[in-house]
Amino acid sequence: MSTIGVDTGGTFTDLVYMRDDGQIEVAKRPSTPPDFSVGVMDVVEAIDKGRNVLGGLDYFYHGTTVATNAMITGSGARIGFITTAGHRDVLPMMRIIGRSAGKSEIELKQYSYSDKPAPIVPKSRIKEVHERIDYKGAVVVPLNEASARKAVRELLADGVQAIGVCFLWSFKNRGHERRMREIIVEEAPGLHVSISSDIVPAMKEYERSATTAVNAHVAPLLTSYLSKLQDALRKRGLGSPLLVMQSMGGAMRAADSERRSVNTLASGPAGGIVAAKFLGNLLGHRNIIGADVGGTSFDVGLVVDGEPIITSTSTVNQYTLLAPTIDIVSIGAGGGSIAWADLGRLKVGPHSAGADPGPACYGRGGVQPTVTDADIVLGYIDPDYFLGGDFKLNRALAFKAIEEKIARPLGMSVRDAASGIIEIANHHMSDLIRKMTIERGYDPRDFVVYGFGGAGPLHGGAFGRELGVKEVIFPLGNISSAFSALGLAVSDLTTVTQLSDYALAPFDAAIVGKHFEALEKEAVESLKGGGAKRGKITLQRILELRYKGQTHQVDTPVGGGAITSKTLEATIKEFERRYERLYGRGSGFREAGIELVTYRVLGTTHIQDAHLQKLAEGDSDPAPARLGVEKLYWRELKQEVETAIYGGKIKPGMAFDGPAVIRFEATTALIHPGQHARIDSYGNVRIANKSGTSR
Amino acid sequence: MTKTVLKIPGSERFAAQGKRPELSAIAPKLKIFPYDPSHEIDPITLEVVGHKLWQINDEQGQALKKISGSPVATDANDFNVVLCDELGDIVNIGPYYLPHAANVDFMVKWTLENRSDNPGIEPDDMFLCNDCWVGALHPQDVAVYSPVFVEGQLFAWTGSTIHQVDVGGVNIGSWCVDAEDHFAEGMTYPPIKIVERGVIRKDIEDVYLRRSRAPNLVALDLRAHIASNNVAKQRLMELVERYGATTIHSAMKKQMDYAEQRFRERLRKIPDGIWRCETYQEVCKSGDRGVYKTFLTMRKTADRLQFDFTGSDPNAGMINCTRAGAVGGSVVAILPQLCYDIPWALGGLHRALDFVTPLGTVMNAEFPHGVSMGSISGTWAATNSANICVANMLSSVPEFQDRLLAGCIGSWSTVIASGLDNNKLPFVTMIMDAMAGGWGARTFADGVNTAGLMAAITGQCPNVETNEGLYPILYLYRRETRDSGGAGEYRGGMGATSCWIPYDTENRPIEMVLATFGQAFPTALGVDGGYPSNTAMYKMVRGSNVAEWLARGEIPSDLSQMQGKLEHLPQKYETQQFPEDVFEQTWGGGGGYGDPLRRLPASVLADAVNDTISLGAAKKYYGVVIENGAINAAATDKERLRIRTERIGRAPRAANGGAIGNSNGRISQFLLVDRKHNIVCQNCGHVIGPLKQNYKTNMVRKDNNIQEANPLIVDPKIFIDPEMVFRQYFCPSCAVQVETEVLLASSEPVWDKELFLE
Repeated sequence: MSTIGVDTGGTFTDLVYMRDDGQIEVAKRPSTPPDFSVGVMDVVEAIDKGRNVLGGLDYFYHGTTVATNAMITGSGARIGFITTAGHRDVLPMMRIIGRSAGKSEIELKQYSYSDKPAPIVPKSRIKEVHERIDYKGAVVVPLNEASARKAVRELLADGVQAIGVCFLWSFKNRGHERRMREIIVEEAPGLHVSISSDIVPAMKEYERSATTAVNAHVAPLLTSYLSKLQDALRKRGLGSPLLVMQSMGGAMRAADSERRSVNTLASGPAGGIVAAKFLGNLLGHRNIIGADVGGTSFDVGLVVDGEPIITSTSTVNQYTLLAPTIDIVSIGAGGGSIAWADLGRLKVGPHSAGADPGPACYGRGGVQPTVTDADIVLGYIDPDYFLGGDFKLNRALAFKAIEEKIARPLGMSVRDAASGIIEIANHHMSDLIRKMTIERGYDPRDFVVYGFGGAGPLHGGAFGRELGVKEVIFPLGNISSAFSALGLAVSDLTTVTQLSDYALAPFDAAIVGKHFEALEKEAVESLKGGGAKRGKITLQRILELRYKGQTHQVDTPVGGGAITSKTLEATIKEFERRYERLYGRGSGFREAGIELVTYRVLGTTHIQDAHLQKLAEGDSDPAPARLGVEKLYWRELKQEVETAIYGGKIKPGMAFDGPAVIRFEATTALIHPGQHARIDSYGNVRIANKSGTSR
Repeated sequence: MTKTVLKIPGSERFAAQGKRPELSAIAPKLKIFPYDPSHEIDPITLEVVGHKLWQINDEQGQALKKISGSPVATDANDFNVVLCDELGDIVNIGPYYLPHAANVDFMVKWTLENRSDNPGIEPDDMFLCNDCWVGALHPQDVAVYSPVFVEGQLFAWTGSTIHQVDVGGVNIGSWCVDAEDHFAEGMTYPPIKIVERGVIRKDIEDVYLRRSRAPNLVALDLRAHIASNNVAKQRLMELVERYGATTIHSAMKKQMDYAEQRFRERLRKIPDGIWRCETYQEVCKSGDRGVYKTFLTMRKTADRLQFDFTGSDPNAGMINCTRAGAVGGSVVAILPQLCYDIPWALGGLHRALDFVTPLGTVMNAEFPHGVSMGSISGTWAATNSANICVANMLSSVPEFQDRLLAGCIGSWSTVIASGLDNNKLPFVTMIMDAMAGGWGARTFADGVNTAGLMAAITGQCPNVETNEGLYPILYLYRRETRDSGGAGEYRGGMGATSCWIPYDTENRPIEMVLATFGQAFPTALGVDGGYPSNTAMYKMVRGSNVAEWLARGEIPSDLSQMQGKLEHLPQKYETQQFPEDVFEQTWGGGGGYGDPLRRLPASVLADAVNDTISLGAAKKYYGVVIENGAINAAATDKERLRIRTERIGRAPRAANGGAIGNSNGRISQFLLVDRKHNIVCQNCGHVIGPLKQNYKTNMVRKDNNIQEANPLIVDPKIFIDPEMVFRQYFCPSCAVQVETEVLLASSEPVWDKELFLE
């Protein structure tokens, strides 16, 4: 089969073309805000080269930030919102966490600059309606149709382009919200309506409201963007459906975006983890740390037992959304992190030079030294060969910045300062990875690291060794810089259905069975509607459980087949096992009781059989790829040593003894002293850590 | 009306000062890891290790938060974790409830001096302590801390504090509004060895749990304590193994040294001076009608900062804190306003800080005076007063004034509820809605609405569905409180109001304990002429007709709409809510910044449109006339001029910014100092008076009924006997509002900003 994945980023739009024969082609073009579809069509033209590639495709996948940008800039639809009487302020209050969600400790300590985001909908466009349902789903006050109609008319008079509705306990009894939607449709046929029991029928009215309001805000824009893009692609010959990447890692049909726009919001970094799962499957890696090192951010996600870790919520622009997402942690570290000296200390970050002015070596007026500048000064990056030479960097400016801001104030050589900057940045990255894995109950030493993104192969060897992982891999060599787009091209179709119904153990097998049956039916319907004509559907059941009184749930898988008391006993055992893995042996406390909060079904239609070309491994001698030798400084040796530089014809089977530098067109890989790398039959750069322990 | 509290001979030895212990006070059998100040670490290793030390705290906090079953910990983040050096100085605190930062170090130091001989301090031991004199903020705040040994030598301490839902005492939730003294409050335990060589002492655990009305929750939290301490210990040992004990030990010291240096450097950039704040709590226990003063004198000299609570009222009822609370409460205002970019290595910061806490006052109670409200009474008053003193100090420095906040949520509104939950099982809980406090205004922006507490960097209030799912209540409404943010050029953030009825209680009442202050007068104060916030409020409509409302298909949006008897419930109160009773709780917003007559009319209109202020307040406080949803510009100009004229009794001089180019120093937004050491109005250039004199005595002063401070204040006579006053101070020439005060009518104007300019 053949597929294309197009990933629109803030700066570049990447395309990966997976051919029938298992070969991969890539293309890169600048992104084109505000109309990102121009960049998509540009990159499609770049790959096509008159071959009518689109005509022969099985699937065309797209990862887009249109919804995210709309939310962050507030440029989505002008929405109105309708709530239960007395609860207009659920959204403005944001349950307080809206001030801190997604913010780093460093940011939060600066109280006077800590704030909530601009509202998606101001109070003046939030209307209350007389209606009330209780915690059991019983009607306390019936929907007052007169007040409902009045609210809609007021919103329409205020010029709204979409309306969201979230009533208390609507996930227990959907009647009032459904009637409310009917009334809106009567008053304003054709207007976009998002009701919370449709978008996400789960407990927690703030998160449910936020998810619903955000969906209403971004759906009209995303839907029209996708339909316009689909038209353009069809005109260009595309015969297969346009599929859109979701933050949970699978794709959905563009036509479903009306109801599920909110699921695209955190999809940006998801592609890399999906790609890691795909490649891991080929290489036999079940546990993978996916580390995407970009210019301005560093994103980490995990694949465990062959599947990405998913969380039930995501945080976008400080809103907590009940949109399942691949669990990815980001810090503003990367090539652009600024180094500074303070009272005899060397610090790196948290400030970043960003893309503009960027590192000093960009020559765009940046005077603060960054990690990229340090890489240049030490000769790791060839300033004339950055991004394949399209973009020249200025080593003198990098040197000057490090000399003036770091070396002189700290009384050290420029070389020591530069290697110190890199050392600290590498430790920040390994600390984050460690925190990320340990907090989720895993030990990084049981993992392999896939280091990708523009700077992944530059730093992965160092932070992978620091973590003591088994192996560090720069996936597919040169393609590691477009790894996220590869993830799009190998995605399946996914959907999540969920509902909340509180219960205290022992649970009633009949009720649990009934709920799962309903969720599974809904998931299958959604997937079938997704246009998956071929492919097997699999369903995974999950219960969110906790000890009574706690507010944090643990996702616990439930076995297939009919739900019996035996199934549930096994589920509770599994919950306790997972709990103890997260929080340590003896931390469980069954005496407190066990509560069930939410049911979830993850449905997947397996539509993929993409494969990668596998070449025979040739001679291990890398001499044919040798470009030369440079004297480079390696901190672990505390000296400069003759270091072989490779590039060009990198072939499967070649082996490299560190220290060595491999220059690909779009990235540079460092093989540290003591490390050995080889190119496998897929073209991956693989560095085995000898003992699997840290130094 | 409270009975005399007897002194208890011998109790003095528990009164910890938080001073680093002398080695001679520690039993010789306890070997201490020696500090080698000459040990050098290169800047790169230092930074790498420093980051990893910080991460230990982070991992510890995450572990604790997830295991804890207490909504107080998980929602309000009313817990914290610390890493201390071998003698108890704090290397790092977690980003959680800050007053606990001055909590575990007190206890560790006391433990070293009093437990090192008998029962001894051994590897893998853990001590439990909630004794307020040793260091807890109130008996509910239980700390568990553990020594870390390297090769048989005491190397460091790791610890955590969690607020417990109930540890006994005469009232539920251990908020003992009816207690005559500490003996009727929750049981306090001076440091006891709860974990001995890695094993929980069951006998000690039973003693501890036996006193609680919620032993299961308390037991769960004990496990959270232990597990999180073990996480921190394990991580620290990994670092020691990797980098060597001497390097890690030295890095901890250097972390504190660095924080100290940075802090002193910052203080040196601020002019020397004295800042003062007088603030109050009212009603010291159930049945009382008094008002109790906290007086803070903050002295800044070169690179040191002193907080002196001399002048505060004698200890009374349950509203006292101990020294740890006064220190911890002050730290809440210091860290985010002064140390926003400095590591919170308190052991280092404390070297530049000094606290004077006279014994026998509300700010440092003498045993056995009541302390069950300590964390949110004396401690909170320390925060309120330190918040204002530090903000006023920052207002004198153009470089730092963007970091100040006007007064933030001026009190915590405790609501303890108990009864049978929706599973018909007994429960005791604290309703955490009041987490949604408003923050004070900034010099460049409004305060954040429903932002949280100043004492907790992060936090959350529960969803209505969460509370209704767990407890037998049904909310009629929960909303941000219009007009609750203090008026100002920048408005204070709004607080909020919750209202609920019993639901599915099968005719049983809900038992409630209430504890707050700041109902009779506001306690989140304004800065540089801003107004204070609203007041806290508990109300109950007894025997209401809410059932009729619901039956006819309507939900009331205000207590005044319902029939029944409206009661303003006192600040300290135990009561029951019967099925037909409607309970409403309001908590505080933030204070305003600057003269509200300078606020952009468009911002006032936006506030009115979004139900943030009432039209009445727009006109009265801001002088903005809004008609049919639009500003009447001419009427607004006229109204603003009328208010200015009324302020000083004559036509005001126009603002001209005349003094700005000619100033020799700055006291605050409106008070500059000229070359002759006179205070000059920034707004019009008027010479107010000599620098060496309280500027307030040379301004036009207006004394008002306290209800003029904010539109939501009710008659204070409902709650208290003493008379309160709201004072305004205006420039005699241009009539700009330079300062406001909330005081006892008998109090003199407070010289709140006294600068020693060269």
